[in-house]
Amino acid sequence: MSSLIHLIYASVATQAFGKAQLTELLRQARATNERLSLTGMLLHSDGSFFQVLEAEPAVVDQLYQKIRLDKRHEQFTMIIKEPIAKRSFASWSMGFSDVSPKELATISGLNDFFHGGSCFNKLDAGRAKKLLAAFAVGRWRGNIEGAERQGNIAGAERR
Amino acid sequence: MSLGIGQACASDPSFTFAFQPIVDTIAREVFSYEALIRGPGNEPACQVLGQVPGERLLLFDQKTRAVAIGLATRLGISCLLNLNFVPQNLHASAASILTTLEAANQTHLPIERLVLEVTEGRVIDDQAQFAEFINEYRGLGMKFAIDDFGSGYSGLNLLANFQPDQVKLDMSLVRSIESHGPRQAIVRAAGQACYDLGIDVIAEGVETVEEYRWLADTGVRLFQGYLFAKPAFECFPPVHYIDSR
Ligand SMILES: Cc1cc2nc3c(=O)[nH]c(=O)nc-3n(C[C@H](O)[C@H](O)[C@H](O)COP(=O)(O)O)c2cc1C
Repeated sequence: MSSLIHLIYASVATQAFGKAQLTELLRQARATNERLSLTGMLLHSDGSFFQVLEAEPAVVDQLYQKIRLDKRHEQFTMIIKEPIAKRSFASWSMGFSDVSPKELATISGLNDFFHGGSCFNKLDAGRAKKLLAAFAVGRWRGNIEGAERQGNIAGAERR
Repeated sequence: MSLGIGQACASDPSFTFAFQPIVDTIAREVFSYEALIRGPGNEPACQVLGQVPGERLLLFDQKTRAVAIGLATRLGISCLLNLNFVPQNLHASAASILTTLEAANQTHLPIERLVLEVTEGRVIDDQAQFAEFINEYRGLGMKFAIDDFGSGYSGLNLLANFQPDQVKLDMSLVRSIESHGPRQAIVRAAGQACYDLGIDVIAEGVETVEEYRWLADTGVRLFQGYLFAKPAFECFPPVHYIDSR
């Protein structure tokens, strides 16, 4: 069995991403990813991107290099890169969700977020899911108004 | 008859395990059991380990984990299992982890359930090399925890090289935290860093309701300590959950 890693990063869009731009981006990305046996997910929220890339180490590294050169986004923060035992998004050449910061912020616990046949459905409690939760409460995003900065550690889990 | 008494070699002391739950107080369920070594009559860990000559410690350590896995499996474990791990040089540690993996395979315990706890002091000697070493096993699904976090001289900078699955806040940080500003500041900062990196934070040695409430209000949801359950000899003890306000 070949080794797998995931790389999770956040970035900031340099242009407005409407439905048309996002659709085109995904069409292209998915075609490439399928060829590369790369899986993952991409979240867009009001100009912020959060992406999980899963594949063999060299494949992930190369694609991330390429993605970083893409002028459509900037301010890259590589959050984590580490070996994984199995893919979290095995059947997704690139799962996608476009949600408003408001929608993200009102997620109470991740389960609401993961319902309804999306790639987030049944995501195991691993790192990708936890980082997604952190992103949902405003971590790893640029200067987002209302993003949680202080106080409670686990904003999304507050009772 | 005792469930899981083990003996590594003729001269090694006999030993078995007690289990202490790590509880998720939001889900109100046991998140993991930590296996704690004991003598056959429930003698404390130090008494058992004190009988092992230094040069045998590594082999003994390795043997004990296999026994802990066997015992936990017979007790029907269905959550994570936290095991202590004493890393020596990387070569010897590799052999040691492999026997642990083997033990898990033999008892059909999924590798994803195993969490090896490494103490902070051990990790920091050569962080980058250690991180690389550990990551090999994480690729197999095994999890790692940093134990006694905050007890030594290294702190958050540890997380720059290596992002474990769990960080266990040392009981010296937890003690009377509800009234101790510096401890609060450290725990808040550590908690925030861990949350941002997808690391589970476990508060160890929680003994009072006040400690628990402060930590819970700060966002900690995983707890280990007398307040919830004491280590129980060769069994999984019942958990006493604290009512929410
Ligand atoms: C936020 C974002 C995510 C992207 N994700 C992927 C991806 O998963 N796979 C991919 O092939 N390209 C992705 N791209 C596009 C690449 O940056 C690049 O444009 C694409 O690989 C086309 O390269 P090519 O012209 O060399 O084929 C992404 C771009 C952006 C802005």
